Amino acid sequence: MTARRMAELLLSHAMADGVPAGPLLRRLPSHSALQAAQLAEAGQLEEALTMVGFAADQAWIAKRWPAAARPVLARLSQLPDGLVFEAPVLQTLGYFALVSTLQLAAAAALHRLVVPSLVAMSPAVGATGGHTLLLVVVLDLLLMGAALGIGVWVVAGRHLGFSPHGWRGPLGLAREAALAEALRDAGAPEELFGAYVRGCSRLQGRGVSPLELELIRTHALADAVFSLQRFLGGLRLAGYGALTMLALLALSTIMVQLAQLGGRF
Amino acid sequence: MNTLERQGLLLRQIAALRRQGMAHHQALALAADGLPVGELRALAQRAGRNLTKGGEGTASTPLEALLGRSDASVEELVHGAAALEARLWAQCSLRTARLYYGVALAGPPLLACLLAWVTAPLLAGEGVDGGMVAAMGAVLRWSGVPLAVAALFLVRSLHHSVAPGYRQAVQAAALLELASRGGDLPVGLLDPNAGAFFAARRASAGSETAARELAAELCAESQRVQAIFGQLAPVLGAIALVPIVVVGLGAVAYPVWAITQSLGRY
Repeated sequence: MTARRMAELLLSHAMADGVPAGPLLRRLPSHSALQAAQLAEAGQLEEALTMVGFAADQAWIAKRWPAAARPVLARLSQLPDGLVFEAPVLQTLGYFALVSTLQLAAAAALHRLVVPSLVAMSPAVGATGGHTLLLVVVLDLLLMGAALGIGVWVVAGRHLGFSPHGWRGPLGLAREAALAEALRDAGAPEELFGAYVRGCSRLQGRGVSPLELELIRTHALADAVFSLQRFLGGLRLAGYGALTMLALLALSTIMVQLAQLGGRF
Repeated sequence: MNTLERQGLLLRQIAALRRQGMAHHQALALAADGLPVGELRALAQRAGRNLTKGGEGTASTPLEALLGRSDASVEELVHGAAALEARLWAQCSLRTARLYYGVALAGPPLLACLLAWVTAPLLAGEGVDGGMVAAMGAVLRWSGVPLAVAALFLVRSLHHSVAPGYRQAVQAAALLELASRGGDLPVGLLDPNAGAFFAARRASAGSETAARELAAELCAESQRVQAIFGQLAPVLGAIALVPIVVVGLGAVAYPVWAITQSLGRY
């Protein structure tokens, strides 16, 4: 359990039980907790909670309706964690990096060991083979770079809060619906509930009855899964296709060169 | 279905029937009737008989004791089921870890052995310089399987703590079981943050509530760790196989290199 998660759990449960956040924050071991305690005691609870790791929407709810803090935890635990959700993308990129590294090493070894002999026998034939193998090496490097770039794009997108992936929108909508359900579970007044919904960019303008919220959440989750699967399908097809083509190119180059040389002796 | 799964399901069925207003002994009898013939059904029926006798007879397991208590609350039944499910998660994490560690450790010697047998006729052919390569091939042919078996034994005997998510699941199960029995909870065994959370919640909400809140979090953490491990471990397994793949590629590249070298002599 991380210190940030411990603070989130402890404060959520305690606030739901009616315990004030300030004294609790003072007892937390983190450096920012003392500053957060001062903010909380000065009436800036939302800022204090954000400082110890609460998400902005969670802090907004916890300040205005502390009884909802526990239902919020329960509802959010039913949503997929970012890293768990995106792990299949990282797995696929890991395979790409591994296979393209091996392929790169094989092409480089062939270029270093076989091409000089071919050039010695027939400069024209050997040079063609050498150029093709160099092309394979360069394309493998580009593929590795692309895999690394996509990995950084996926991980950075989650940490920096921008939404480059198709599944981020549906996941965000599912989160907004889950938090609205938590407010309903905790019996929040209609004005507060309405204010929360008006502040939600994705939920705004949709039906917010309990049944509608549940439907929005489940549909948004299914939509996020489909979106991830579409992305993975394209990524795997393009990546494995490119790696297979490069392997065939390297192999066929060597075989064709050998066949061309064979006829000369 | 696993025994723990069946036990958890039985407790959840009884809790659901109790929530609908049924008495404990009736809910137990109904749920026991729905079980397939076996040890668990016998245990449930024995608990039911003890219950009708007014608590006479001794329970052989904590589950039987819980089933045989007419004053067991619905929450106790649900938390009992949650403890069993946490144990199930622990088993699951151990099996997954053994599978991936087994493949990563036993896979390379097995593949090397297979490669050595397949390339044996080539290495024994006319014109191939034997020596070191032939000796290596012979070693791999005969040592691959024993090495793989030794690796599997090693994986089998690995300490449970190396299974990702196992520790959290076991701690969650222990917390739930101890909370339902009112036992003293081993805070020192928890990691510092979990321990601090437990201590703070115990002070404000009581030991049982604190244990249940922490157990829920530990279970979720265990599932999260297992899910990530399940996705990323195959990549690590594949990395373990890289040396063998390199040898395999070398086996393909060597004849090509030898041909070009011999052609170059003309």
